[in-house]
Amino acid sequence: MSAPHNPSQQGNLYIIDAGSGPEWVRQMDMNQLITRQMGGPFPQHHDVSHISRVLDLACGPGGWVLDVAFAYPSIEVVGIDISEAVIRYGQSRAKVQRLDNAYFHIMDLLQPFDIPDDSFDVINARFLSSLLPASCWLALLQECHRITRPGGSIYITEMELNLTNGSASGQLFEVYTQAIKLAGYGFSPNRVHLGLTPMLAHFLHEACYQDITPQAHLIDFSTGTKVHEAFSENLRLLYQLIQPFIIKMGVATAEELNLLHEQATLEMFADDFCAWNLLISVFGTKP
Amino acid sequence: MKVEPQNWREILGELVSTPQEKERVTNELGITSITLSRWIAGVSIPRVQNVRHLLRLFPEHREALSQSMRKEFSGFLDFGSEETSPSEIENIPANFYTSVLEAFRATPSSLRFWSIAKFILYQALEHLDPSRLGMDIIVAKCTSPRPGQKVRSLRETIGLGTSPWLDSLEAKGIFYGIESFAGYAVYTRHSLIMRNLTHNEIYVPVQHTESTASVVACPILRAGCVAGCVMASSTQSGYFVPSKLALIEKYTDLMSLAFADSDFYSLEDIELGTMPSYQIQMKHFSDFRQRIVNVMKQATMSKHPMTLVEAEQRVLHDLEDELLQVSNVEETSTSI
Repeated sequence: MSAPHNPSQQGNLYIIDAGSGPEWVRQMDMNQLITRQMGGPFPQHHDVSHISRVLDLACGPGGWVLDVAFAYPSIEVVGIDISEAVIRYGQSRAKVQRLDNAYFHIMDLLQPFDIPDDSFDVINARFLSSLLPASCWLALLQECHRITRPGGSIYITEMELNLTNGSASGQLFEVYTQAIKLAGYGFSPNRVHLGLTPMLAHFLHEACYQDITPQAHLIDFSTGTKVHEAFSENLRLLYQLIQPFIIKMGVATAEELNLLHEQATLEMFADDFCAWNLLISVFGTKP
Repeated sequence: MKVEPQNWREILGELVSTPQEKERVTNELGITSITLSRWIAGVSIPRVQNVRHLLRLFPEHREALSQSMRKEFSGFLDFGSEETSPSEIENIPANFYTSVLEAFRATPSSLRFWSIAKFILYQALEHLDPSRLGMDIIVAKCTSPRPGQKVRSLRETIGLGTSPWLDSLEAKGIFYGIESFAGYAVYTRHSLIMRNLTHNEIYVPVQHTESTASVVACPILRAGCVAGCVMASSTQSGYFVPSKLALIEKYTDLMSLAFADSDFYSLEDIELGTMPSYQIQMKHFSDFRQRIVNVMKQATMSKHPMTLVEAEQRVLHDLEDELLQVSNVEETSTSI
């Protein structure tokens, strides 16, 4: 997923540059990790036999779109993102994989979608917390409800919490949550978590979705686990990429962040490093 | 005695022998049960698109199905990978060159190797193995030598794979020496292929897993100097036909953008040693990270603090020394 290109829309508060090569790679890695941890692109035990069209919001380089298009040739998968460059890249990936059921379009989550009512059986969104200002969530979900077919579903997944025994790792997460809170993202009353996922069920209800169900996935990336290296590397890269944003928000200086980053890396290298990430998905159905 | 299915039609017939499975396949492919029955009976052949979809639906039977299909459709059907549109198959899309150059321009030098190399690996993997039959691609980089020394090994620095190599989201980080396929490609500065590892065509030693059926290695070159190689392994024998080799070479050329000038070495600056097996190396790498932490702590205590990059470099050199020594001991004991 990509941050808006138009600075005027967000008061020039990019969290990560949308045109950034490292960020695309980080997102592709993260998509693979998360999809494997969640047991596939769709929630486990979800009946996909009647799904014919699905939409992925802020699709970024298109990892989820292409995974679904590959695994389910009869499903038409559409990814939307505001970045023209990332859409072009997604199209290029679909072309070389010869996935003629994957489509990518430029679209802004903050504007009404150019999509007819009742168009999709499933709408999927992962990690919008750093893209969507807190004040825009309800309007987005109402728009999603409009384009969801009766009987269709919405899946939203966010990474809410980073629990660790690493002092610097914990501080980096706090600095991050503080910065995005200042920029108007998330609903956290403190710096410990994003505070978004408890609100999702509320917003889905407000947007007239029913059968709203939360589901938690705990990702243990402590030293010695299978995903330790991949997750740690992804997190270290994330902290590097958001550094300009944190400095811009005045939460920490470059020197402080460099020091924290190096300490956090050493913590993650240690044999006794323990860390869990809490992923929370919330599902809703349109009656 | 049960007779084993002989060709893809018989295999498919067995796979869809239950009504539930038959319904799943017809729904997924959007075909009628009559069409499916005609394929199984040998009355008609599926379209290219449906062949690809069929292989995706039975990942555990892909090898058996595709081998038989290749025999039957030889010359006019290659699962859409060869004849459908040669220009699209054999060339990197122009859009992707643009994306790489944009990333090159926007990426800070500290992240350049990792992000450009992985960006290219993702595209190469998806392009070379669109049906996800099983492929692993790694970049083995010349290990920068200590001052005054020559390059003595390559090291797997980044890798990406589809099943059964799904876990290679992280490179294993092992060293390759002259005993390896990667090392030999660097020495010859030419692309090398092993088309069929299961039929004893190994004429150059190669470290591979049980899943590897064919492998290709292409050196990363700039102005006559070499920085390492791109090595791709496939679960399919004979997978690297000339058009695929040409494509890998194009991605390898693009990969050179990820490297700095100082990463390239002339042939006289390279003198690869022999590295021990993967299993032996893994034992030495088990405390790799802890060793980096220890080196940094010692450096700080001796009032000469080191950065993480410097400490990692020191540990890698130490490991390289140890592993080359292990090989020497092995060779000596073998000759005795």
